[in-house]
Amino acid sequence: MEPSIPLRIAYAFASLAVITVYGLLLIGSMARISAKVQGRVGQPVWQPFIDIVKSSGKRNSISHGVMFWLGPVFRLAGGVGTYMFVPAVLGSVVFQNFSMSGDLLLVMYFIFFGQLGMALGASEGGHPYSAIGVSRGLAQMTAFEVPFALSIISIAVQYGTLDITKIVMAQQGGFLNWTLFTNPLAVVAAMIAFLGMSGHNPFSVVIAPQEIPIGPPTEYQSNLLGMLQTNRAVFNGAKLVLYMNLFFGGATNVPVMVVKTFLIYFVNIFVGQAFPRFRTDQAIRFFLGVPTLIGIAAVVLFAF
Amino acid sequence: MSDVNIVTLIGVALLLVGFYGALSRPNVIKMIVGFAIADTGVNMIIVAVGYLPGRTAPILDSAADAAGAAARMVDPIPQALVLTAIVIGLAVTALMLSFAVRMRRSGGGMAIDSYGEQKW
Amino acid sequence: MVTPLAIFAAFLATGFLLPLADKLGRRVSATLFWALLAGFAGLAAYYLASFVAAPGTLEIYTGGFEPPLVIALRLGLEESAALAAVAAVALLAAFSMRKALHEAPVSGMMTFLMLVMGLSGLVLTRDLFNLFVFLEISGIAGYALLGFDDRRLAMSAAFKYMVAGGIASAAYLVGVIYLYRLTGTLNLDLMIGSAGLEGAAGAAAVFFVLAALLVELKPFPANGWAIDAYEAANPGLGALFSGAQATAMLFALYKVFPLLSDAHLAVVMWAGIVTFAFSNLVGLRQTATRRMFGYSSAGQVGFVAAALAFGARYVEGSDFAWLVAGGLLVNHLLAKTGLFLLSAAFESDGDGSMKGRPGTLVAAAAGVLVAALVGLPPFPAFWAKWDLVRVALATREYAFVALVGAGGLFEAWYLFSWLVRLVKGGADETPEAAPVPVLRVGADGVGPVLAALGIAALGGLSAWTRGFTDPLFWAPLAGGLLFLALDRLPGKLKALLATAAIAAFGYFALPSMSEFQKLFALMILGGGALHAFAGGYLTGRRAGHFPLYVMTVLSLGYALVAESALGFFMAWELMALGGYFLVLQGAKGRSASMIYLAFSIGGAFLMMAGLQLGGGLIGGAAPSPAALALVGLGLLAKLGAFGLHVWLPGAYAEAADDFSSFFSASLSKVAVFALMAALAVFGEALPGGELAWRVVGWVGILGAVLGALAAIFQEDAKYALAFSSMGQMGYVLAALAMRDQMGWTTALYLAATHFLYKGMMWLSVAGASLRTGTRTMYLMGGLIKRMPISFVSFLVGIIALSGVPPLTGFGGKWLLYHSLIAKGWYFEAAASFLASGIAFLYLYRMIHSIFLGQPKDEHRTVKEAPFWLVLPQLLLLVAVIAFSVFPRLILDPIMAVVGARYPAAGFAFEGQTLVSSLGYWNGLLTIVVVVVVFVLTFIWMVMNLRKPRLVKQFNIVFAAERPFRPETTHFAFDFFAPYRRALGFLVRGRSEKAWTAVAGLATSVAGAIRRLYTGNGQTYALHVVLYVGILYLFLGVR
Repeated sequence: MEPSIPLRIAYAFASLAVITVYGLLLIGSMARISAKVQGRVGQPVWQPFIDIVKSSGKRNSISHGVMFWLGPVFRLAGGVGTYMFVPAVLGSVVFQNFSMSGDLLLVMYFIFFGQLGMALGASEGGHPYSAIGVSRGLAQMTAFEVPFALSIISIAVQYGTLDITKIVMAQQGGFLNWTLFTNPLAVVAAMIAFLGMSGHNPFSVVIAPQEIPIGPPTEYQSNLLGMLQTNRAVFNGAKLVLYMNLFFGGATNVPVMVVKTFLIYFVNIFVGQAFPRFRTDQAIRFFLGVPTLIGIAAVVLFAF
Repeated sequence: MSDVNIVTLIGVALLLVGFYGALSRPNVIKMIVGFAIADTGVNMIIVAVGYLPGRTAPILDSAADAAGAAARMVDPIPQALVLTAIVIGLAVTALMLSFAVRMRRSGGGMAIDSYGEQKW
Repeated sequence: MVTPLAIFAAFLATGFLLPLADKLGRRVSATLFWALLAGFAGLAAYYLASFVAAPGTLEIYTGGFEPPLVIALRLGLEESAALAAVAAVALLAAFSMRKALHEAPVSGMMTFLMLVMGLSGLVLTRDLFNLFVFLEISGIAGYALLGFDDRRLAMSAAFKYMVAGGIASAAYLVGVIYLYRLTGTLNLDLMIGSAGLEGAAGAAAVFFVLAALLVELKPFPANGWAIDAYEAANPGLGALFSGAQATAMLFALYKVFPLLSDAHLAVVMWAGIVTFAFSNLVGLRQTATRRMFGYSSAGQVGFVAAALAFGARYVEGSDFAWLVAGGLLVNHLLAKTGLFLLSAAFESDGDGSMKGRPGTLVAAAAGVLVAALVGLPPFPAFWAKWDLVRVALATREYAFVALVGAGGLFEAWYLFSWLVRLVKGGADETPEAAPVPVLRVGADGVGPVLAALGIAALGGLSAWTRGFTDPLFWAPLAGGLLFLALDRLPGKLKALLATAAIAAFGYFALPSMSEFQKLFALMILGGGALHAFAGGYLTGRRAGHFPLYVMTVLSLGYALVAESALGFFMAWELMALGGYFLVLQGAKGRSASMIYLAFSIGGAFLMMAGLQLGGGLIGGAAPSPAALALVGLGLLAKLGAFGLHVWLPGAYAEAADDFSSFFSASLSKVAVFALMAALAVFGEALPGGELAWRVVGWVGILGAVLGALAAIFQEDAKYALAFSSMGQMGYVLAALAMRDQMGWTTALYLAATHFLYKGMMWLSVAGASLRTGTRTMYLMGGLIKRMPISFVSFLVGIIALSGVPPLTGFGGKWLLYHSLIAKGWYFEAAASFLASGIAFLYLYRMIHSIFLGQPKDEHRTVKEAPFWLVLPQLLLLVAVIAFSVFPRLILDPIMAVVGARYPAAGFAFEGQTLVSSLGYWNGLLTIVVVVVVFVLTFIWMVMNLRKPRLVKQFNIVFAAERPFRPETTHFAFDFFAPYRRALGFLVRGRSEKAWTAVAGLATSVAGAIRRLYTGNGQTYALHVVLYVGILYLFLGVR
């Protein structure tokens, strides 16, 4: 049953390839959907592929130092690593990745790896907008972590484990076993946190295109930008898969995974197109308000 | 040994009068006088404690010879003590007075409350 | 043996001869004066030596008859000790007054001699009336000496003194004569046990004698006259009053104890301890030095009287009086004498302004004297207080213990404040602006140094006689002294020597340690050695740093291996004292060190009370919740737990950079050690049961959240790190409060890893601020290019601290959440998530503001941190990486230690995978996956690089604007402004405000009480009369 090490590495590459392609398509399609909502034609669905190829092909002429280069490396390694620690498809040898390294906590904390590294790289760029973007992003992150953490604690109590595979197993046997239905409060809290995590409206002030052109990645171009774009796909995919596993019953095959993650991501777009943007301090207060209360209620419900 | 006799009472009265004076008169000299009166009161109390009714002064003379002294004299020790106390009282009074004079000379007033620079 | 009557003969004869000798010249009379004092001291020493060699008493009957016919004197061990004390103080005081005495009329010297004779008489006589005579002789001489240099202030003070003395004399005489009347004798020995003492009349007569003696001991609040006298007196005379006169008066009081009933003794005890607490409270408001010392003296004498009465009431035998009251007294008289003399040498008029600051030796002496007076180890009062509190708790005199603690705290505050003014050379709050010159005091320094030596020797003797013969026990003190002697050597050499000394201590201490102790020895002694090495990073001698540092580290080391509660406590106090001085050595360490001191002393007193309560004295050796609560509170103060943390940021931040690092990385862990050890000794029950532990857990979590939150708003790198430490130790406390295998594994793991990464971060910041000359983060920036090693060290530090996999920090987070959730502490876990999220903010802010972003023009040429800082960082770095790759390296020993206490395992290893009931974590696999992914990504990036060139600093995409200067481009000031807007209200220093209010309350109460001291001699007299009346009422009520 246990695949050999080379085989496992090969599987991991395959799994990674799938999620990358899928993630890029997802971004493209969502951009297209957004455009339709706004009454534009929008970009082709494969535009992200074009962007990456174009960026990677460009000659890069600028460097601010070693840490500046390492920023995207950290970022992409963070995204890939996060995905590597999540079992993507239940029961699939190919898609179980390296989830035996650790449980849910490992994933939750590894999410920071890329963010931190990216922030450091952007910092060395010396651009004030990068630092402002990081400041806003980190500040917002601490806030949405609270309802998310409460939601995680709630399901940890509910299922008595932090092992992602076991959590998915517990949700098998009909959609009524999904956390969405067995622990709706936790799901609500986590989904609100997810909005913050994804950085779409109303929590898009981090990369605020108007005032601070694009936030942390301001100074990045060419292949470094390409890495960041790749990461966006992988990282989004990893988070979506994680959410799917925790709250929506997981997936036993790739098509189910695609459908579920698409729908989860769609929530973002749906909300994002409907609401304007919060300021950072408003976002912090928002997350520590109602969503946190919902999270607390979710914990209380299962703990006592 | 009856504890109360007229000298004791006067002594106590003088003691209280003296203290009252020392505590109520702002004038430094009057305070010193108050202490002198109180000293006298204390001395009277001491003497009165040694007094035994019907006995003579503790002096070896015709009234009391060496053999019968113990039976016929009042207690001599308080009288000896009182001598010492008087001397000491005198010394203290003299020192107080001299300080009062020097305090006055150094520019202070006659009232005790004009020497309250040091406080708290 | 020379009869003591010779003393009186010699003094009287010399007194009369002096004016004649003076006719031959002042040189002659002065020689006579000094010869007599020296001879007297020699005789006293001889007496003392002979009675120590051959105990016994010598009864001297004047005139050849036996009492009651004659006055009897007694000379025994106690008397000769008191005489020696009087003589020693008299010599020191006369030496300090030498100029005044030589210049004033010869009557000055005469009166001085009469005073000393009167005091000797008080010690020797066994006759109550004779006692009165000596009382008056010393009194009159004292009044006269006060006024002998003809200052109006001194004369008016003397007058007030006389008024109070007059009242006391009258009371004494009345009391004595009735005692004579009732018992038929004036001889104390014949009077003791006399039937005449029984009954109301006897009690009243004894009371009058007692009241007079008490008044002479200057009890609060009937002591305004005495305070004025202390303030006005020549400092040498102040020393004589405070040291010698108090000794003689206390001895006189002790002498009449056999006459006293328990009710009388209770009056003495409470009057004394109330004086101690309240005199010191009022002293808080004093800035005039000698007046302050006056309050302190009144308090100390009250304390000794209370201890004497306490011993007489509750303890059989005279050992207690010797050890406790004697210890307190000798401690007080030497320390106070030294302090008065110091004040004479360094202050022109005792108003708190200094002429200069002392050199190292005199400063060390001043530190010894103040520390001794406050009752810190290893000085006699420390041992005395320990015994006193033990017995007081055993007899359930809790109010007494509370007053002892409060008085000691107040006294510590104002005495150490004075010490700070002294060693920093004045009240100026910005000493680094204009360094105060060192004042060479020459011969005037001899007295204080001698007093300090004496007190240290007696303290050492006290320790030795209590059975502390373990070389490790003496190592901290010996180390401190050794490095004090080596203080002239260059700093770098001393750093190496200190490293070696600490390593040597470890070498000798380790074999006897348990695994548990070894774990902490790694953090404390290992950290101590590392930071000792780092101490070489500054150029110059670093005068005074290494003695204190070595003493602190070694006392921490001894605290780990101490076998008795007393040994542990002494090491604990010594460590607090060393830490205090090290913080004080910081350029702006004044107020920070004082706050640290207040919490240290307060916490230590609670701890002492707890240790005593749990010492098997009450309710046997059974686990004691109250003991654990008290000890725990003391330890939480040291840990900087939320609410008790207000000392922490300042103390951590204002100390020298290398000590800050040790403080945060290593020293804070000893509180964890002690807390765990205390649980083992006193049991786990707290008053309040499980709920109390839950509260402790929340205190930890709140500390974690609010510490982190406060850290993100700091502009000063060291304050940010200090608050960060507070937060990290909050996690440790919460984990500890869980009290199970998972919780303690977590706590130990967090403590150990915090030691590693926090040390790196502090040292890295130390290097940066050394090179840039600032601690303010937004003034730095872009240092990565100039200081790459420091950057890497800081980077690894923040990754580890933040808990991002794959470094060690993640293990801590994983353990913490698993244990919290398994314990059912869900909201604690959620709050920890918030705290660890907030930690990202300050960590990023720090590394960004210091090492990344825009370098400043003036920092373009800075160099990498000195080797002395880099090497320790690299060692810690290696340890962090090793523990990250192989978590079992650190977790196996930890789990072995914890398993010994909590066998039921929540965490266990399966191969390299750590498994709990909730999940699993394989540190090795994690790091392999991360490294592989990272390397592959890195290769991909490198392959795609196409000849990039390093661009200039300002070559950034800056929409249509041109970056102007690094200062305007480096985004670093008020970095988290939105966060401040959203949550800043949580960290507006409420704890600080609360404690400030408490302190404000104490000083206002002190301010209100001291209005009693109107300066009016008549009011003071009234106080005395009323005081005697009220004491009498107390006696009646009992």
